[in-house]
Amino acid sequence: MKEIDLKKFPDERGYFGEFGGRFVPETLVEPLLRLEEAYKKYKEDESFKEEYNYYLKNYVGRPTPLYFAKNLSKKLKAKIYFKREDLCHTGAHKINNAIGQALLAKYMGKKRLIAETGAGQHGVATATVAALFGFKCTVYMGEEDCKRQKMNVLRMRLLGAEVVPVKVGSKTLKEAINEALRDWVSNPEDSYYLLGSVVGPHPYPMIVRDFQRIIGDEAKKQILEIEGRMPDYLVASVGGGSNSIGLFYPFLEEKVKIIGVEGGGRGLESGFHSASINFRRIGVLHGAKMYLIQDENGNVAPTHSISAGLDYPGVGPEHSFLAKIGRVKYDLATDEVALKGFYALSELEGIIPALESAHAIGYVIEHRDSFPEDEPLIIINLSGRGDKDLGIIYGYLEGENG
Amino acid sequence: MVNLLDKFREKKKSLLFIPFFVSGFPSFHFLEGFLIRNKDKIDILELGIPFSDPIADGPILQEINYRAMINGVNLGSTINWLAKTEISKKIDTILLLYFNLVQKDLESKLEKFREVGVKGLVIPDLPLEEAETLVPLFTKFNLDLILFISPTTREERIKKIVKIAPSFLYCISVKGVTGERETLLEESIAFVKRVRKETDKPLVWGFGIRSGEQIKTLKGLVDGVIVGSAFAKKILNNEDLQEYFDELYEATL
Repeated sequence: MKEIDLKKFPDERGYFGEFGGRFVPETLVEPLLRLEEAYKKYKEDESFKEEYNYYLKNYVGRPTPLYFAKNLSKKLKAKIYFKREDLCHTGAHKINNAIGQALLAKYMGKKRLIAETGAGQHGVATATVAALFGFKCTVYMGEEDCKRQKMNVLRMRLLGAEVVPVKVGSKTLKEAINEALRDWVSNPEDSYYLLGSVVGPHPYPMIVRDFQRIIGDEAKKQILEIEGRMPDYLVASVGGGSNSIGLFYPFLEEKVKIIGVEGGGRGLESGFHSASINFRRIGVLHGAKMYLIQDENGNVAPTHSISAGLDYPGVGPEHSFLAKIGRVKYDLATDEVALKGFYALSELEGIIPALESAHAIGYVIEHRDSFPEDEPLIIINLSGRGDKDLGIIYGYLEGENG
Repeated sequence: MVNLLDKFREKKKSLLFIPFFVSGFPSFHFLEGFLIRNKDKIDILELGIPFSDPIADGPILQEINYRAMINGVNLGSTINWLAKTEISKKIDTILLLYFNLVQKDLESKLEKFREVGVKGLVIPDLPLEEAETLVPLFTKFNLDLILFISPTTREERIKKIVKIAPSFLYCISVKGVTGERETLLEESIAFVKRVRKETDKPLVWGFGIRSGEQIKTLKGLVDGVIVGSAFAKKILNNEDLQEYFDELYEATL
């Protein structure tokens, strides 16, 4: 196979191979061009970089530990490390990107942040940085998600954000992004759209990846210090794909096997899942060409995952590309497997993980036998903590008992 | 066969009247009756294909997209309807659809469109950079690809778009989504004048139109006007459409 320089993507048109691009109404092209120009300028700017690093260290609490999970390792006859993004301020990796983009918005002179959120983690992260840097903030959240994640709605409101429940269509993340885009089309001058995942039109997939790669940069340094070698595997959950690309990106050119785990819901055959890559259809949504769950007519189809953060019909264009060229293997974990991971980490290591991260954990437990190494060295991204999911777990336990 | 550009060149009225309707709403039957009855008033029909995620649309057209979609209206059923009826044979028809509806098997879809008499396509999420590589393909199938210009479009892009545009230009008059506006903004009019300086190609005003008065003020400024949400609202509220339709039509004479 011809060597592909994996670091040169996206190209200047915003493409990762055939994926990505900028499929947006003409009104949004200008704000996207300005964003791209500003990002190019400030990412090399010393005072911008200094400020970003300052907040990551002193506000977010970076670097996060790379923790050796002794008990789980023993059980699985493997060496398992967790990258502890759950220990970030606000409880998930989302804050890395929110800090970076809010600073960008500040340098661009914007007054207001717009964001979408599914489970509420990105909304909380955005509301947090809005409070920190003095922005007005509007967060769009599907009405269904508002109900499922009441506490996060309250958190955002306490932080001073306006939370707008979106009442159309499936009333989840997909519609929240539609509504955020419509807001931005109407207010392109004073508002900054702080997109939370590696999806959307160029340059978002690149910007969000760059602000999340700190996860992988740290993990690489840490594993070399602790183990003196590269890991055999990286495993992370993939919804839109920001926590996973953050971990994977700095390792793409290393001899490391990489596995992304999609939300398998009730199984691929059931039709209730959010495993976009495994569904194998390509489409265009929210400004980018990517793998997309859709029906025969090209309408985006409803998705399901026990984890709201994975419940999205598309997947970042860079992931789509890495899947297509075979650099990263994308598999899935069902709701049931994710719950297994959730319980295992809670009971064996004293860490309650977010249901998103639990997909990666459950996957490793379930597929340990298919890792040929005697004692594989595995880094799993623990992208967030599980407090936000206790209501869902409670509902599940009630269901089982009743 | 009448080409859309020729149609603008040969127009004998101030503005071409381009009503927009979402396919199959409230029903194929209603729409067919209405369109055929009004065929001589409609210069170009813009027919929208329902889509699950119409990001350029305001609340009224979102609602209609959604209702039509759950009623089973889609690209395939619309094409079958056009094939069976006289609509696209008697009225110059263009389709408005989001890119995901055609990106797969694009060539064979374009061929189908041509077969049933469609004259062109408006794709709201296909800006210049994504559209320009497709222009030759559209030309091959003798279909017009209509490009957009918006008040936010910078000068160098306006120049590029008007140069590449194979058909009339769709001027998005306001920053925002589709839907009626109370008044036509000064800045919208200034924007269209800015575009006018750059090109002789026909300009069509889209977004925000709700009255004959508004339409009259556009005479001499643009070559055509699209009215969508205002009609959609009447249909949605089960109000009589004909009188209102005639009022707006007459304003274009």
